[in-house]
Amino acid sequence: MLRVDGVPNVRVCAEPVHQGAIVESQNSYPNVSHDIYSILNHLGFLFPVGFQYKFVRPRFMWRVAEKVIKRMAGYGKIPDENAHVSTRYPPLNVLNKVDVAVVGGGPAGLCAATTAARNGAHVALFDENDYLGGHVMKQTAEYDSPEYPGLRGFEIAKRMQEEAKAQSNLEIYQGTTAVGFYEGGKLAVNRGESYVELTPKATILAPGAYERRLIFENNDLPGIISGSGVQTLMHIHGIRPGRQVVVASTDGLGPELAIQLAEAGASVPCVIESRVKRDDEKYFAKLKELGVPVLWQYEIKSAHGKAGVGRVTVVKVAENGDQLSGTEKTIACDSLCVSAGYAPAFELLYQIGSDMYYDRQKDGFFPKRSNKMEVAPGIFAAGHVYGTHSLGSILLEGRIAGTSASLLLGYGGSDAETAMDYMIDELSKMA
Amino acid sequence: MGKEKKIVCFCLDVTEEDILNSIREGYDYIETLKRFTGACMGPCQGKFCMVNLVSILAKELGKNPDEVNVPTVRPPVKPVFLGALAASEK
Repeated sequence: MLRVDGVPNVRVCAEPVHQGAIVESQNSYPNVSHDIYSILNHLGFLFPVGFQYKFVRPRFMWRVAEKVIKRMAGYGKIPDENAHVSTRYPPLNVLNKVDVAVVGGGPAGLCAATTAARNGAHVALFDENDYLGGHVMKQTAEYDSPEYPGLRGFEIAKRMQEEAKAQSNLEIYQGTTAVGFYEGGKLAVNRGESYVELTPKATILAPGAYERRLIFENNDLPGIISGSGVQTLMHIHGIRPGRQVVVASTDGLGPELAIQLAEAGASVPCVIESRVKRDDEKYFAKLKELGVPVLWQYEIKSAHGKAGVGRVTVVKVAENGDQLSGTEKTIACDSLCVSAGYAPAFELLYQIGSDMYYDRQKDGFFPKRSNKMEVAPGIFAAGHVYGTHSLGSILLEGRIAGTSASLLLGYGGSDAETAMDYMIDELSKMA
Repeated sequence: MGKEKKIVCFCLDVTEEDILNSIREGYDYIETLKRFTGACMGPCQGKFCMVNLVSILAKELGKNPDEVNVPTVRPPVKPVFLGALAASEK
């Protein structure tokens, strides 16, 4: 987090650069490259977590200690008086007459919103990004989706966006985040400096999922990027994330990422995959052609480097997950791309009080749903938040959620009811 | 000492070792563990660390993750400017 134009704690990873931006570091003195606080990296053992609750004695010294701790580790200086968040969008207009609010503009959300709008409902769609289509927008591979045959991921995303924008009763709010669900069905949305609470008659949640992080030594070095982060850099912003990129994955996405990186002109010293070798892997032949070796059943032990990652040490893992000492290898690189699976973005579902269950195989908490995608009265959900991966199922879930919301509010009529039965049947066949 | 850091909470720099030490000290309930270590309480509100925090606690206690459960998630799920909240009251 950095201070941008006098506003502290800006998550710069999600903040586009703009002409004349003043970017300053926080919590370093006098500056990042000569930071005297970095001594704490070596003295950390003196300050275990929670030390401030126990070891600041006598009591009155707490006031002094608090100031020092805040200077060194707090949330920066308060904003300059006239500091404003850079906004790429106008302030939110209060949205009246919203029948259906859709949270998330990925494939599930877009599909749900378009479906509900086609049935005649007034729909508002919120997405926090500057682009619609969610993770599909970042994909260059073709999907074998029956609805969009022969199209690549980003082409499907664009097509869906056009379909949504063609609906006059569907309003799309980009750069806007649904930040909370409050009592009485109030949905709070935030864009820059505007904050609006609305009470839609029905809500569809399609928030998707967050990437999981791997825990290894020095996993916070600059140059360590998530798989989806790499795709955002390459396929949304057109930036190559590094020259020499080691790819590590635990979810089988490594080979695909390595191919995309190699096609973007990066050299990929190797792919580290923690799973057991599978020869039927779709991308295996292509990797061989590109000359990228795959280390099966290996994982990252540690990353090394000062200002950024310079090399990584990998180690073989046994079937039970233990690291086998003596099998370490060190590989030079300037970036490390880590893909470790996804965890559903269930915050809003949690807040509306939907029932959650733990799935051992997917290792995550997911919302329970009815076959009409209802997770709570008047609230529907669709897509990756259920752990659904295939685009076909995601789109179908979105369509069912959109139809359910329409029917609840009296839109769509018997046609929608017939379609609903058919879709529920189709979805059960896909599972 | 000498050990390299394994970060779990990237917002507040809470390491795996910090979490294990806290659990052994008695903060073995997800809500108290969250409050004591600060993991899940930074600007990302647990988007990066919650899954890992739950699985570390479950593993250490020899339980299933659903017995540990996830800590309460309160709004707002993303940092909101105080000015934006104040302006909405007008």
